[in-house]
Amino acid sequence: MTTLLQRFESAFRPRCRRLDPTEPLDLDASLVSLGVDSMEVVELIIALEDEFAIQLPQSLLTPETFATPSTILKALGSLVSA
Amino acid sequence: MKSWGHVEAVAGRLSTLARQQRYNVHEEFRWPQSLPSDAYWMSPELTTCYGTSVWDRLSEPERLRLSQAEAVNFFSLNVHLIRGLIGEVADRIYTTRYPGLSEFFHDFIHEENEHMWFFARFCELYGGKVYPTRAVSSHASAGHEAIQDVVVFGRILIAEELCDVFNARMATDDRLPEIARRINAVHHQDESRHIAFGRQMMTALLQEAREQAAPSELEAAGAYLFRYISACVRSFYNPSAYADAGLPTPLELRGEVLNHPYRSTFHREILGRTCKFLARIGLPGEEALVW
Repeated sequence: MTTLLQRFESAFRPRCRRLDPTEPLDLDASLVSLGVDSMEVVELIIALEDEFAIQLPQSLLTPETFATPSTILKALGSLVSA
Repeated sequence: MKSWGHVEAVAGRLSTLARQQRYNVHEEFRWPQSLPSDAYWMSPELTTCYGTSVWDRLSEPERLRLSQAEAVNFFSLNVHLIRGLIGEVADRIYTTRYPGLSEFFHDFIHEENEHMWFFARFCELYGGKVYPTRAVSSHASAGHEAIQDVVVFGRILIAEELCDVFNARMATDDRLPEIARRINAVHHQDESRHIAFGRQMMTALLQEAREQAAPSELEAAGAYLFRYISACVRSFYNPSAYADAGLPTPLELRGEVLNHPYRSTFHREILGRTCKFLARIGLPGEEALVW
């Protein structure tokens, strides 16, 4: 069964311009250090909404939510399990 | 090569023109209490579903509601783009870097502030809201100041040229209510001056960046701007607007229309002029563009 983390990674990894495909994803690394800039975040929002069939509420579209993979996962978890 | 003196001379002429063409924004438009629900508010050919199988499935009432929600979405996008660019230009007024452009920047900010007002008024009166932006704010990029300004003025020019294509077409579309046509027409007239300035500015900035910044920095800035084009285009596809139009499964609908080949063709058409200009002045990074 595909986990939340696996589904997240499938949408997230293609946006990481500074992460080698074979390198494990550090969930606490900043998005900037992974090569995900504001432009990629827009693409990421669309990819996550498509993957999880949810619309991210405006209250979650903040720099705090999109600080690290783990902060995004935390926000996703609250929506997907709701 | 375009010198800064040339850019300042052009900006001076555009400022004179702006002051000659100045209007009272509070008297320029007649705002009806409501708009007809059986009319298009945005040209149907400019809506995001046009040319796709989704459009073929829609009934006429659904097409009308989609054009109404997307008119509000389009004007909302303008509000957010303008808010961002006013901040960037205000950051550069009366700085040592552009002492000869402060007069033009005053006129630019004045006009953009008024544009933001009439776009937002339309959204609130007839759509009940300004759609929130889906962008997540980020810190300003570091690096050589010429590169930072290539990015800032490049973003402004791209957003202005993209919206201007829509404004120019809708300004004369008799299917739209008069207030919608008029807003598009007034914006198109003012933006023609801003675009003329933006092209001169980008030409000079790129020249400066080539002379003073590292080639890798310029490559990255160019790639960023071409990705910005892709992001701008995608921002038109708003599931909230689809939901407000009463269309089912708005998220799935966005995926379906975004993946339709007609949409790529349309994006190339509306931004072809901009991309040709950026290529002509030698901005690198076009391979980063995804239609």
